[in-house]
Amino acid sequence: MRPFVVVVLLASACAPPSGPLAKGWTPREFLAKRAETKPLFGGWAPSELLVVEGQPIPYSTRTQGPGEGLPVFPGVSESRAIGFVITDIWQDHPQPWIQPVWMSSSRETPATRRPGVANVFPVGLDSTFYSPWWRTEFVPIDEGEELTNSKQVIDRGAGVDGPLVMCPFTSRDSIDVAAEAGGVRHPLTLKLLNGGVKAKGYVDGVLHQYLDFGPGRAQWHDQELDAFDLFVFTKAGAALPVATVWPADPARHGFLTRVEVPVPGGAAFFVPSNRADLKKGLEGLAPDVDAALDAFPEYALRLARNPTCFTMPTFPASCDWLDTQAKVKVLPGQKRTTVQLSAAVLSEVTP
Amino acid sequence: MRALLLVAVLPLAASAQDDAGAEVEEVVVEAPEDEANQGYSPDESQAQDPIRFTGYLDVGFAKATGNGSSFRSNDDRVPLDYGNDAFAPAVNSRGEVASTDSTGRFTNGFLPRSVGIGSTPSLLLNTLSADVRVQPRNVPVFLFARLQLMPRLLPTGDVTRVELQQAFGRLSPFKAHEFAVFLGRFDSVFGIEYLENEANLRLGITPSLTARYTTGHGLGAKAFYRLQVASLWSAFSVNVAGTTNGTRIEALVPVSTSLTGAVVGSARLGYELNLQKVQVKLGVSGLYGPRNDVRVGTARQLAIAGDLRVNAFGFSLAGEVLRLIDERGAGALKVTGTTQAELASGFQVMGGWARLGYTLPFTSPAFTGATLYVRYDRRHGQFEGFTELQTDRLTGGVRVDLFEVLALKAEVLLNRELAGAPLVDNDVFTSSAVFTW
Repeated sequence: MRPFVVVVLLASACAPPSGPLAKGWTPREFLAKRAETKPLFGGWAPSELLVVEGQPIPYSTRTQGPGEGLPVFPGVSESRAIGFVITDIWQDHPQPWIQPVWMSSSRETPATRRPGVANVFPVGLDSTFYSPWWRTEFVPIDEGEELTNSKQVIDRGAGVDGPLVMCPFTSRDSIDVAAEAGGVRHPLTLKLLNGGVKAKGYVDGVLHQYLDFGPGRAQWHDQELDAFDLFVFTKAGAALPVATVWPADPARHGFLTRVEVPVPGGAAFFVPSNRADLKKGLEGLAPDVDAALDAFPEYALRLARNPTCFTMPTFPASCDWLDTQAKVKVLPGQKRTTVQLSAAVLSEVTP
Repeated sequence: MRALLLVAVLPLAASAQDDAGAEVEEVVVEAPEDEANQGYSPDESQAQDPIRFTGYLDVGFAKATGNGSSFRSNDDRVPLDYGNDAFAPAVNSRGEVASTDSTGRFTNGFLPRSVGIGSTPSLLLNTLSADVRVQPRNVPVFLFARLQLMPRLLPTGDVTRVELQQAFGRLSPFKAHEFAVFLGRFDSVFGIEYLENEANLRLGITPSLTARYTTGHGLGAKAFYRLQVASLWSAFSVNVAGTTNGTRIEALVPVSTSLTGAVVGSARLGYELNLQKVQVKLGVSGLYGPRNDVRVGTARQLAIAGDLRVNAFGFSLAGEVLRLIDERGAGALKVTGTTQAELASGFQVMGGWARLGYTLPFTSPAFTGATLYVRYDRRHGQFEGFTELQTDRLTGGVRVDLFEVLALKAEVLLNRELAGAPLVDNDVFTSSAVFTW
């Protein structure tokens, strides 16, 4: 018996290498691991990806209101401050799949969604082939009719093609974009932002919760998403809690590859004097600045090639900001990761 | 094994087997041989010469409805093969289907092999199978190899295949005991349907909807032991295997190597009652081990099945029920016998089949047998996070044996999508002429 056991153990020990295993994290995993502060999820810590009621909202001095929230991260695109939420992260993962989502329409206007009727999705979070990206197919139905599963839809025949939409499943109704009472705000500028629309859709006859960020949030072709770079500044290999650098037209480029960029020597981040909380994790990289610069919150956590510009009267124009991809992508020491993410840039609420 | 199959299921058709007659007589008069012993493997006790060559040729003709696949044109779900049963429109005893053409839509390795005819009626050379059996005199060792040729043409071009389907050595160390050890690539030990893997032995033409899980060949070692209890007209048997892959067909799980370095165990416990006019056989099978379609050993496969066969007065009833679970592949890429796919999903299935046959009670030197049969299959399969597919199939057919070397078979398959799977036109008419030498 013993020799047999030894043989079996040896055989197991000699198992061929499996290579990196694909991993994926959704708001469900964000919630489950929310107490974890290590950067487990593709370089992001679960604790910064979701907050629960009463907890501080990252990059903000405020606390989360009722329910759980996906925090608004600061970013910059073509020198413009943006706020975005991360909804899904993948590491060493195949290209996320684009599944159909069936939206009911009327027979009179077959390419227009019929309001008040739940969408039908073919899969939910439990599927290894889930992603928050869905290709709309309008299905004309009669008044009062309701479709609840994919078989019903497919059995009806072909529908009408629609746009790609971003609808991350949240696993529970209480998850939304992070917000204190009163609304979603950019954590630095405090401007009011439009969050996603909370909704429910059918998967195999059962209603599931999701956030609807609407159409046009990623580029795609031939059933595949086009990934664009998201530059994340690092120091000594660790990501810094600063503004990430997005491609142009960020609201339409929500599928991204994480590219890590070491902070160039001599560069520093701008942190207003009234936001000392933002200096945590930026020791030595965020010099003290005059309180007069507190009037420029949209520049907070932005990287300047030479921080002496922070003392010049022409601030912020005096700075050579590393806040466009054209400038950042030529910085040395970049590391392209195998991490991809889906993120939604939130538009400002227009008065 | 072969003899019992013929006695139990096809007593008249048995005469079509070139070397089966003596085995039949031996089985009936002495002790029935349990086909669970070795699947379609020869009995060296019947060997005439140290080396013998046998085989068969299976020529088919098939016509499928719809587009020959189980895929609707308006189904854009991903992967396409998770939401439909691609195995339904089978056309031959290998379980190959009329088409698996997904028209460019993504599939993820849950596909049978295809003969690529779509809905076009076509003759097919299903299998040319050549066996070699080596029985050195006066030693308890037996060698067997089966090489098969399958000419195929798909839209992508010629995909003719040669497969070393079985190659094993068998050691029977005790003359006084029915005990044998096998090493190499051999038939499954799980359930009973693998006994009909070969076209010349299968009563009908196509395998059941659950055959994909139970009828694969394994690479490894197995042992068989049977205890006869003459006073009870009974026998008890155990068949145990340790293989690289388990019991799934090679289109789904690679056979030739172990991806995990660990062993997949499978076994069947059998009981048989052998009366003068009635035979009853029961079996329970189990399987446990790592999935061999991913390169991580942490994802497990588990299966259990029960089988029953009753033969009496020209009627034969056989059936099998199966429950199988695959754990999620832990983020590893999926490797099948035909391709490398993407992620290996969790999966579970419950299913089974039952077949009733009746053999006409008359023969002649030319007309050596005829059997009518009907089979009902049902399968509830679900990939993790996908809709459960509930499908069934009704199969009816006839087999006529001539001159002990030719079996003519015709069969109709009526596939239905009961729940989960979209309605699709994928019924099949198929026929087969099997020449055995």
